[in-house]
Amino acid sequence: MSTKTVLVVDDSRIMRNIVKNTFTSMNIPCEFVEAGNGKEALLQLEKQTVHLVLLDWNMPELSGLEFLKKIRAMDKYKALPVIMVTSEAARYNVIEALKNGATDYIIKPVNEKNFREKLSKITI
Amino acid sequence: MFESIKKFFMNVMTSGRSDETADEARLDSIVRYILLNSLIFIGGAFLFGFAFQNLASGEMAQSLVDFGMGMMAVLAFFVLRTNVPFTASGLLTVVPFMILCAFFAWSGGAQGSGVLWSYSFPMMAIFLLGMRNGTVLSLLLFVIFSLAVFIPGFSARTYPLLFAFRASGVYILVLACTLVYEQTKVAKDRWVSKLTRQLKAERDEIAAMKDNLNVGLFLINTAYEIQPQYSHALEKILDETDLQGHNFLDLLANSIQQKERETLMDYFTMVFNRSYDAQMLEDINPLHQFTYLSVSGGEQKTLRCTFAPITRDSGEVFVLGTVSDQTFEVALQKQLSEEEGKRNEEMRALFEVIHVEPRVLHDFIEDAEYEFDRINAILKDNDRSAQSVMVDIYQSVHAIKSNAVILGLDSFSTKLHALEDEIKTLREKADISFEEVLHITVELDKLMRIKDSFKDLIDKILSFNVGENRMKEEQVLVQTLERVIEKASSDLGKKAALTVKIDPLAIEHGPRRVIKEILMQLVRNAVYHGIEYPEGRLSVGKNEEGKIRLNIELQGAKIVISLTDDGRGLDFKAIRAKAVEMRLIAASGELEDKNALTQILFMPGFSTATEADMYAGRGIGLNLVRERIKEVRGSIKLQTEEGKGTLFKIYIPVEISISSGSQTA
Amino acid sequence: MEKYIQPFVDVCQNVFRDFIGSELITERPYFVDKNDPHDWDVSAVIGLTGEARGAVVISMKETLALKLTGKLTGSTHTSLDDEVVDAIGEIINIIAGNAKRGLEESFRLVISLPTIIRGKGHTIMWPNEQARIICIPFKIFDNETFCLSVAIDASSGA
Repeated sequence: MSTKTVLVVDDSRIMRNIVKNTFTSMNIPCEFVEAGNGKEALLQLEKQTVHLVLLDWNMPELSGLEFLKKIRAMDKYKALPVIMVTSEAARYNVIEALKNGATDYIIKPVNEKNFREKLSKITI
Repeated sequence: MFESIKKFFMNVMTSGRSDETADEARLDSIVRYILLNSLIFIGGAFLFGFAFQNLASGEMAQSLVDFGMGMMAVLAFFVLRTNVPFTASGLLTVVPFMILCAFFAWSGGAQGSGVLWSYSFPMMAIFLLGMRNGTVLSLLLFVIFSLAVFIPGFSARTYPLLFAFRASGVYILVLACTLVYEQTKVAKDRWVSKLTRQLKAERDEIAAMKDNLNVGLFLINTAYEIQPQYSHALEKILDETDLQGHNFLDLLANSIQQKERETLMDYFTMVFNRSYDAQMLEDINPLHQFTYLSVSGGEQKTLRCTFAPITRDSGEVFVLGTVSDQTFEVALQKQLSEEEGKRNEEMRALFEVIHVEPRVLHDFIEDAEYEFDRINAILKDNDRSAQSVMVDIYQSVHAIKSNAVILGLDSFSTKLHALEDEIKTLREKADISFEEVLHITVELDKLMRIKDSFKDLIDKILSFNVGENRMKEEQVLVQTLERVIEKASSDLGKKAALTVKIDPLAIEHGPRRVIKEILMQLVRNAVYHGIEYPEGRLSVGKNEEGKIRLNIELQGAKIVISLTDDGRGLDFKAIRAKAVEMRLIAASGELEDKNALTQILFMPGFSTATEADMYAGRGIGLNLVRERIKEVRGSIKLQTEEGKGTLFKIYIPVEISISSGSQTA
Repeated sequence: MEKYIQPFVDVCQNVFRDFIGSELITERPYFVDKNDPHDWDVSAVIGLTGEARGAVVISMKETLALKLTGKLTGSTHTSLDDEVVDAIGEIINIIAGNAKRGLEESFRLVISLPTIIRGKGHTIMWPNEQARIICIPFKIFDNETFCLSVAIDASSGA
């Protein structure tokens, strides 16, 4: 399996590190690209090929939802797997995300088991 | 007009039975009625026709017979309309018809066509009268028929032999076929009715299950309309009746916000389209648990819904929904977690209590009871104003609380602190209502109950401890003071140690409680204000750890208590600044002399502590000390040297001592 | 606990005002030890059960009981005879009845019929285990006092 690029979008550096570490502990060979908000995330998408996006919801500048809407409107990112990482377990929010094109969701705190489950459902 | 003609026609043909409920068996009999009525009309018409024809051609007897039979048919028609069993009318019609067929066979008719009539008989007879009676009459006719065609003298016409064989043979054929047909029909009917019975039974079973479920089960279509078949429980759970055709989302109007309703519609779209697997859909189900209030009012309940897509044979997609009332379970769960929370809190409090040395705790309890009695005495004193009562009660509660804090009884001290706050608010008010005083009284009672529980615990433990290891008075005192120092040091990040030299006799004859209170206060102050931080101490060449020395001895009739610390001495600058802030002295000019400033230290409300938190006290500290000393007719002196330390010397006369353990009324 | 006590206090005030025609002065509540001897001459015990368990006791001295009877019946008595006890019982019944209405409606509480105990130094059997009783003194007729004592255990944590 070739190395995949994962874009981690979260305004908290600590959270980004946690996500990265959890991923690494699963022994999936991947490279990480980070963004602190939706705008930065868009820029990162332009710069390289990204295979998976782990997207936080509440961010300044461009929120997770807005970012998602934007990229789903663009043809080249229509099929890009996006997993929403959220502390908001409110079901209404999750449905809104899915409706706007999120591929799946994980509720914080993230752990290996969660990730494995969700990743097994999508092919990168 | 056309309708009424049609209705009249139907009524006549079915002998008035077309209005009755049409099920399989019924339909069968209606067909027979129509058949028989048709036969009556057609046959009757023929018979009357022949009758008139014969009349016209002079055949009177013939005509009479025809007419007679025609009348029988008419009779049959009317009998058919009554409740007389079908068979009666059937016979009334079929028998004459049989006779007619027999007659035509016998008479030959035009060119021998008379025999042709008989071929219609087996069908009529068997259809109208059933297999048994129909077959009997058909065979009877066959006999007459055979006689007529085979025996030359019997009938009016002579039939050729070959013709006779063929004629009777075909008759048997017709009879046989009719029998086969009727038999198959009967078998088919039996099978259909068995099937119907089975279906009915299943339907009844399902209906029974459906109506006895205490879960609401229903189907909605893509327009969110509830379909007719739903379980009975649904109405009860949703507090609505006649739900079919209702929009499910409208029923939730009182229970969800507009925005939530829109998201719910998105969710349903996902369900209809099977956009995600069942598990995921359930995970994001917004109605997994929610508070429901019917649009027509009623009680609020907690409901749980699940949804699953269903495709019917017609290809139409529905969503199968279930609703169950979880109010009870949810309330139970809440109750359980509340109780668990309470239990945890109790456990924590218990741990705190257990960590205190029993004798020390015992003293604490005694002191608390002493303060409580003091409070009660104040309450009883009707000459005091409510406000002054509050001021005094505050002191006592504060005293208990300080002790609790030192012993690490956090749970208890938090509650005491809360009461302290309430009293503090009240003591500022000029007008205190009865309710407010009652409230304080009740809260005190609650706290005393907690104290009682400590006491029970201690009694249990101490009962194991009788005789052995009973600590001496001075050991208890030392341990208490050591705890004070420990707590204060760790809170502040300082280091301090206590060394003692105590004459047991001095304590024995002294007011133990007062001494303890005073020393606790002074020792705390020593750590807070006297002893410097470790770095500070090192930088002036002192040991990191501060030294606090306690000496208690008897000098004649006086108990002499000396408490020294090797800290930085009294900070007169800070004292002066605080005094100015509190407007106790003028801001201007002369440095007040140290004696005057020292006096100020002992005034109520004076504290150089910047924040009134649990540990640094609220400015009662030294004032309390002075009050207590006054109570036992003692005196206090202090000496201090900047950078070197402070010495407190307390003199307590022995005769006027309040023995430890007594309680003021 | 206060939510149970306050209604009794209010009812006492109202009943004495409307029925006896005298104003009560409510004084400061204080604590009494269950086992301490008291010097009341007559007590009326009203039991409480339901979401809280306990008792409310109204105690007074003979002099006040006689005065109250005098006010009610017009007749003078010189000792705590049956008529006096009846009169006191009457007053207590009204208090209990009025308190019943308020308490039973607002809380799941059942109030029993009062029992009267007389005799100097009589003992009151409190149904609870705790040691302290809250006593609310009321002053009436300028120099007479009676006491409303309360000991209630809330089983659901009031």
